[in-house]
Amino acid sequence: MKKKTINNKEIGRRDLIKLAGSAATLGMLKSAFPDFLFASSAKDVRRPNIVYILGDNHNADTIGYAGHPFIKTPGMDRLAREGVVFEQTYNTTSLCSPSRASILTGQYAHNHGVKNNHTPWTGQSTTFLEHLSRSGYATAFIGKWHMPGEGLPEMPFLDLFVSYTYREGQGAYFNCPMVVNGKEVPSRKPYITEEINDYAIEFMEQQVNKPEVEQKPFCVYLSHRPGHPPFQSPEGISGMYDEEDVMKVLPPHADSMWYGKTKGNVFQGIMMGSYHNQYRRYCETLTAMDRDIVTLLNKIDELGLRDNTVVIYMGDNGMQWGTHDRHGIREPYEESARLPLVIRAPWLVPDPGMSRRQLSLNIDIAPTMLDFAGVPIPREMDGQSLVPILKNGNLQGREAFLMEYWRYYPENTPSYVGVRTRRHKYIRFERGRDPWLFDLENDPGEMNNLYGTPTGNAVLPQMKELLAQLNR
Amino acid sequence: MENKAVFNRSILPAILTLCLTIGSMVAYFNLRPYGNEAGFQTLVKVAGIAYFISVAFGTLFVFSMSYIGGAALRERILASLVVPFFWMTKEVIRITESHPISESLYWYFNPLNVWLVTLMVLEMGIATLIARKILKRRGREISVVTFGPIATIVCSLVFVISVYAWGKGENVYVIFLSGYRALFGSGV
Repeated sequence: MKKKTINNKEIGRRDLIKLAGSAATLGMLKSAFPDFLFASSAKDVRRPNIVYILGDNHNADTIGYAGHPFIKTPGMDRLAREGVVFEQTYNTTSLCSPSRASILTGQYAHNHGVKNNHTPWTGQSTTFLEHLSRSGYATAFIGKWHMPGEGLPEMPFLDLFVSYTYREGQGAYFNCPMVVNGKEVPSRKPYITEEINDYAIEFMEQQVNKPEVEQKPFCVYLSHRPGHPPFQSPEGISGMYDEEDVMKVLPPHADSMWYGKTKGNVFQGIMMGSYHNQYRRYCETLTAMDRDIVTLLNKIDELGLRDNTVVIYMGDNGMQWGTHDRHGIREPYEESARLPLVIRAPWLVPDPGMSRRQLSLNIDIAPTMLDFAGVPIPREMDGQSLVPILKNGNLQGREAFLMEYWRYYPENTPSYVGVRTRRHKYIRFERGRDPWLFDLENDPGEMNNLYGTPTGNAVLPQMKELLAQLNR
Repeated sequence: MENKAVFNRSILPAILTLCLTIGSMVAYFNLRPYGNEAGFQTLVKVAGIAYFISVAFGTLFVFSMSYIGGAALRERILASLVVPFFWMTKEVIRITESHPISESLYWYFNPLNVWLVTLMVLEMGIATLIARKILKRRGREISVVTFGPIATIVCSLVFVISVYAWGKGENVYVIFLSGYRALFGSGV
């Protein structure tokens, strides 16, 4: 009998029978377990796809699942029902570019070097997308890059890089010119969230429709603009909150006209219109983004990817709406530093619909992604994987983290460094202000600065020591 | 013209406008609800509008009064600058809380200030016409509409509108920040 060959090796009849038996056993096993456990490509175990959705300046309480009185966010609410909400998620530097760099690299800003929105991204730190790409993932960065530098960075490892450089990378809500794999192209959809959502959906479809031998797990990083001023939303959503009573949410002293970007700036406020309406418009942009999250989740279902795709929604910063007479994202108050974070990974979470109270950070995203993909977490990453906490909500989590901020012109927040524990927050400003020390358990609104008081003096040495340890 | 003393024709209108600015500003930022939210909203609206009008449109009053009082052009301009300069300086001082003096001084050139100065020029043209009209009613032999104020109004109006229309001011702000980076880098 003529011998058959596999991979240039001759095999006999007995070998063929063994091979057929193994294949049959594998087939039976495959029918008994979820599909993603069985690889169709080179690896033995297929790794999950990852869809990471990033919002902009999204106050963690301005979501339906968080109990907001009027905002409609059915997409995020669905994620919360089917996944896990991390209620105590913070950024380590409360500003767009540093926070985005921290998300991508898993590092504190003093390590990745993007200290404010004027400091260029040098590419000196490796992003989790590059790690995933090297390990065999198809990767796409789609949407707002928004880190300083000459245009967009070179990221040849990406299979798809869709972004924009318009207005210093802030883009525009309508008809934003795009840059697709280095080539400038006009927008295809008028509204920015639809535009980038379409690219994400097309990328997923392309991966699914590839011949089975070419298929790889994929990771989509989808970075949205909504939440950033000037707040504009599409037809059908614009004006939908006109009748809502915003004083259910805003502090009582936030008058209807005030829109100071910084404390004490009324002129700019009146120029930019009613503060109450600004808040309504802000909510509308978030609802517009959520509409596309709904579309994306439906598409994941339609493509049969639900059970092997991690979906994450997160914000880069929080947003302070009038509390402490402040507006914006830079102050080290909870409203600015706390982020929305929801993770859906059905095969990992024993208690979908529940929440986690452990301290989690923007720098945890990169190691978490690598953990999902089974990629070793590099030592240079400062964050920790959230996968163990996803699996077991009773784990203790971290004790404290570093808060750091470098002054960003022309915003009115001095540079600061601080430490946040489960109970306390200690902030030391470079200039212009006395330190802050808050007991967040007894004073969650951060109204009573304990610095210099007997209670504060009792806690201060421990906080200083923690700060010194974290800031090494 | 009436040729009043400098104090009466220029300094007094400027001081009156400045008092309105300071008074409304202090009221605006220190008012709190104290249990009556409706009353608070009304009070802050009044104070806020007074504050805005005094800064943005004070020039109309000061320039007209000093023109009617017989002040020369340079004196009228200087008097009109008092309140806007006060407001801009307040903002520069605010920036010093977080930034060095050199960077804070650069704030004088922010787009809003440029816009405000252009608005002032527009108001000076309009104020000239108003003042002439008043003087004519009082019996002065004077041409109300001449090339100078009309050209001033047209040019400044085009600038005021186009600065805002071009990306709602965002593009100008981007240029301002590029200038900052050229001078100071990232600042840290």
